[in-house]
Amino acid sequence: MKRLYVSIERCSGCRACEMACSVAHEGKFGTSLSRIRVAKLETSGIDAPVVCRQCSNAPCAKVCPVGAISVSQNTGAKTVDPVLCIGCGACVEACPFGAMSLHPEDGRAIVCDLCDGNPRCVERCPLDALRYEDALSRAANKGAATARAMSGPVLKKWGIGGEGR
Amino acid sequence: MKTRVPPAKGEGFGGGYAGSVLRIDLSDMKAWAAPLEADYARAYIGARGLNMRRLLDEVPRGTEPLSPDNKLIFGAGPVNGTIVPGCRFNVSAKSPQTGILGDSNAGGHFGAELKYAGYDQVILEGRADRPVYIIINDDEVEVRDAAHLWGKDVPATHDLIRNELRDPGVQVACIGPAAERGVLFSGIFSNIVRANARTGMGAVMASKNVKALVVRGTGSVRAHELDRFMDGIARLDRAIASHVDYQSRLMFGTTRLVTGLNELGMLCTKHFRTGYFEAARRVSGERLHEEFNVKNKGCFACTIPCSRYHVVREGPFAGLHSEGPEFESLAGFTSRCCNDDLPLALKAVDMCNRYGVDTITVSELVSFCMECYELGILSRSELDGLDLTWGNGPAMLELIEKICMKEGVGELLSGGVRKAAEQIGRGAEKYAMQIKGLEIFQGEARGIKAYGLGLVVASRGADHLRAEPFFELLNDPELGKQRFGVPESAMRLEWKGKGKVVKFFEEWCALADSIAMCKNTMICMETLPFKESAELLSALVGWDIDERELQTSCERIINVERAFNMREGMSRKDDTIPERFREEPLPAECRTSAGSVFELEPMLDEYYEARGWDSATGWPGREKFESLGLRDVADSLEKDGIRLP
Repeated sequence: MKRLYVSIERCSGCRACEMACSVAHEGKFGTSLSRIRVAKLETSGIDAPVVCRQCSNAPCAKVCPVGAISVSQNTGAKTVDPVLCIGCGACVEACPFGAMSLHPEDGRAIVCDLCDGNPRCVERCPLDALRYEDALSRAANKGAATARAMSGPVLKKWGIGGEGR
Repeated sequence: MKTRVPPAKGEGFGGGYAGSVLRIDLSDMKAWAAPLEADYARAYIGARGLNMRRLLDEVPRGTEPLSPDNKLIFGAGPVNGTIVPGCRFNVSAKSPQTGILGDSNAGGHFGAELKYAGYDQVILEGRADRPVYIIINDDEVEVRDAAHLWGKDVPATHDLIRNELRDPGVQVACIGPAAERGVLFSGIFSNIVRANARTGMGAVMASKNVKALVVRGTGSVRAHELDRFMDGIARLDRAIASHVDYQSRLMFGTTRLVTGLNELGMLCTKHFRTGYFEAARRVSGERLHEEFNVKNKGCFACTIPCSRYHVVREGPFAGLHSEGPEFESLAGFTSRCCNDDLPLALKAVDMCNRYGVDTITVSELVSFCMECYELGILSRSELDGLDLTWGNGPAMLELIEKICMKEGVGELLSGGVRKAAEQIGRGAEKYAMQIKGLEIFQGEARGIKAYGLGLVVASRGADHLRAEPFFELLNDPELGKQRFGVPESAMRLEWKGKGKVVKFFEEWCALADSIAMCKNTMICMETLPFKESAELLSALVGWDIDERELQTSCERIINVERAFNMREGMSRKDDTIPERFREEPLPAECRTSAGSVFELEPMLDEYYEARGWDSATGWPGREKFESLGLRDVADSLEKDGIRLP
């Protein structure tokens, strides 16, 4: 199952992702309508895209008093049933990341639905700060990075200098 | 004061505009909304254009800039808050620094938030009786006491307000201590370093006793025909992503110009004594990228986020970190003052951002003092004992501190270089590198003559962003002949044809400033010409607007700006440039630019002709005004005693 991964180190805080999300879901432009939102710590230059992390043991779903939050069979995204949702905001409080919010117009819970497997925010990001990847391949990539970081002395010992990529 | 403002939406907007103008009278502590007039919106587009017309209507001739009668106008444009990359906004008022039109433009996120709160313009009038800050939260307006914020620098003010409101997402536009102390070239700062820097809008805000304007908006912006609008966006995206400069702009932003201009011998160096800085590599955007930058930063919705975050890890300025700098600030505190210490220059920029002043003006003041010191016009004791020899970095930092705090010699410099030179006398005026009271940027007018002409005629005083005529850098005579009828128009060292080039680019820049999009992307990368802009606006707003109508609107904006300055006594005599550019040829080390001088008069003649203005006065006549639908403006100028040519 693929997930949305964010890189705080790459994000420029431009919020182009928020516009792509808002227009894809609502047909208009508003940061309050976006399912992904960039949190900024301006005095230290930090920009952190906050979006549903697809928890498998999801606090939002567990806490929902009317059982409105389920998991999409197709993508694994959390899905809010707009008919069941009573807009109580329990999920907003339960989410450890701040990824749930309430729609500013009708008050129901909104959360990233991964655009049915084609997340528009990822497409829009100019800096590759958002990635939609399989957890296994993500882990494999990080593993390879670890291997590179640790390989220097070994490669040197073997006399294969300057590779490590 | 806390009040709910009854909504007032203008009619005739299918999208784009919020349709509403918020007015806050600080003398009477009243706030109200008025519908945005559809005819004004179409005639002046938004942001800068609309601000300019308001100033002409509401700030009469002779208004004292720091009095309650001046108006401080925050203006967003129709594309702010949409997916259009790189949104900006304008703050305008009569300028206390220059005494004429004041206007400043910044990127960041403030403009978009203003639209989400439901306003295209916010107009501050009157004066509060004590320091306050204003919070706009959709239709709720609150004016709070700001005694605890007064004296705080820009980053501290941002943090204190966000903590106090318990909302890290609010957008803050604030002034720093320099504005509070009456420094006339102080700016308004949002997102910490996004500066509405030029022409002293911060001083106007301070005169109204307003420390900050804070906005939170939960609304949204619609497109009248969404699919058609998104088609336009897709074309714009392609134009940006496929541009030959895409990668270098992402890596260096505007700082790439340090080496770029230096190689052509037109980088302001040693206070315009030369256009070539030997140490340019050491203070270049390339070095910044390699040694100091940690990531990109972007304005709202940008797809080519060209700003950068830098960290200084070692040396006397270890621990310094901030967004930026842009080319103007970087060259200002390096080549202009002959300083080759890059981290020290970063420190200088950081100080200006914290205290809240315009880096172009401050870099002029520092380099002006250095030249006056060398020539014996200013003595060491008059400079509070500072040894301002060229390139003395530590002395430069001390001087900046004094300027920002208006202490010692800083008092003399606090009105900008024109006022300082007048006060010093002894021939200092000759070395004040300003036009109409505003200091000249870091490009060299003798090496880029359309840019020079742009500075000369710019409505807010010496300013490169009113025209940005990069066309002359293309060095393609055939294209010059094709586009402007004169081969020389595309050749930077020639003067011929530049009148037409500047007219065209002034109008294109007026468009960028009025829809409120980034000029780097829209104009310098040529991604959104008039035709494509008209298509995008038509889809967004629901107008049936074409290229010609849009260009006429931009011409109207330029003429309204000129009308404002005519009323304040400006004419051809003020469209000038310091003697150095006209009389002293660029020296040999400037290579291809060597020997060049700026041919002021023939270029001005050409420009007025292209504009259809009277060449003796530099004014539009009644006929010109009427052809732009500005009969009322012509009438009111005549009522003010101006005899139109």
